[in-house]
Amino acid sequence: MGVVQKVPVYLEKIPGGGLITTSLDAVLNWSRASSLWYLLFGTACCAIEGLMCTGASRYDYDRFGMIFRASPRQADLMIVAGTITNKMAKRVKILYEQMSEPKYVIAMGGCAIRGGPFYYDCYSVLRGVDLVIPVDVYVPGCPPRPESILEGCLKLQQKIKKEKVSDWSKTEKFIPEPE
Amino acid sequence: MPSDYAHVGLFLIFGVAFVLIAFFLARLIRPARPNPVKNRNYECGETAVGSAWVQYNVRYYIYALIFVIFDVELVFLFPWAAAYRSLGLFAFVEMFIFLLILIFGLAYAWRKGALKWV
Amino acid sequence: MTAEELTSKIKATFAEKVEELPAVTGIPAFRVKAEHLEEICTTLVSDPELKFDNLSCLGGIDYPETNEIGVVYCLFSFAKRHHLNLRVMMPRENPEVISVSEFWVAANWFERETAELFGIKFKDHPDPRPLLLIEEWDEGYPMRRDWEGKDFIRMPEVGQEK
Repeated sequence: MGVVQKVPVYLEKIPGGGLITTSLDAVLNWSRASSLWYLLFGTACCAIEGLMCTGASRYDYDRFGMIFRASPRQADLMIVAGTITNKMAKRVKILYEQMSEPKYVIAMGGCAIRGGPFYYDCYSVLRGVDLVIPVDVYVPGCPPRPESILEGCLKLQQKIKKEKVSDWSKTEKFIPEPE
Repeated sequence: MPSDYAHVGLFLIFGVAFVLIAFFLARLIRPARPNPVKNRNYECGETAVGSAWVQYNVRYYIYALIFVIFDVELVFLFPWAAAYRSLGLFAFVEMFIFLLILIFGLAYAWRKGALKWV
Repeated sequence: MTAEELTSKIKATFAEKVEELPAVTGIPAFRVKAEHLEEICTTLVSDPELKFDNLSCLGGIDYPETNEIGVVYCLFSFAKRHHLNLRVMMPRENPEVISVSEFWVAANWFERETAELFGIKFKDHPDPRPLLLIEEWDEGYPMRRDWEGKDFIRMPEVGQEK
């Protein structure tokens, strides 16, 4: 990636170079947003609603280009559907790290946002999945209606379409410590 | 004819070049940020214990073997079938003997249980 | 056997080792001392009229008011179709009871869970590893009534939420 990270910066300096970077932006963002393959990561009731029911024929994910993948290596969106316990948090982190860039996360349901109904009186539930992985879109509900989840996916698509090629050189690398 | 071989050669070069260009372009555009946790073996979030070299059932090998044998037989059958009208009785009998040998092979495999998926 | 027949049969077989508890759910319930549990379980499994071959549930209970901690066993018989509940109570300081996984294999995981959540020690357990809590857990026994942990947030009383 070394050369290509610098190219957009130089491209923008030459007159007319902005045209190239913005068209490149548009093409790349459109292609990423239109085929978000999501990782089947469901731990509790939200998995039934948000992964199975929304993926079935009435509210379809496939019409947005979203196909489920079982392996994080082949997915670029992780819909965290369900309660995350402290024991599961470590595994969530490892799975998130094993996804390839560009990767996005939707925190679905009350439990993934702030621990949901398990915020009080619970010794083992992680109060929000954004304590371990960075989240792009939060979809509230317990469980959220499929329409809400699809609205969340559309918001994520809008967020992706605002990305810029010239930001590639500015992202710093985060290297987690291995276990 | 030389021009026919040229067609085949061009097809070959184009095929190889297409694949290489696709990989190279993808390599330019995609982000690449390897880190130690990302490069670990995938085991649903757990740490993998032991080696992944396990013993597989021999049924997969036998299935592939039978497929290869009869696939090669078909490769010989297709040109014969395509030029059937212009070949005479001699070709028919000769191909029939070839098929007979392979039918013996099929009967042997059948008898030995190689066609059962157990 | 009906519940009354079962109650009388248990009382006849074990005499003073069991103490009858009020059967709130219609299932006969008995209180047993921890040292008698092993012979009682042997009889319950092997007696041809009782034949309790299935352990439906095993759980811990905690009564800090009377300073007791205990284990509840819910037994069922497929052959005779009757239920039984046993309760073993121990002092809270050092709760120890024999493991029943030699009689009913299902007790294995139930006892692992109860041991790590209540702190009850099951003697002769074949596999005494923790089951549910995280590997680095060092904050005590969460299901005891008087447990307070580092991150534990109690539900505020009604009318006093911020």
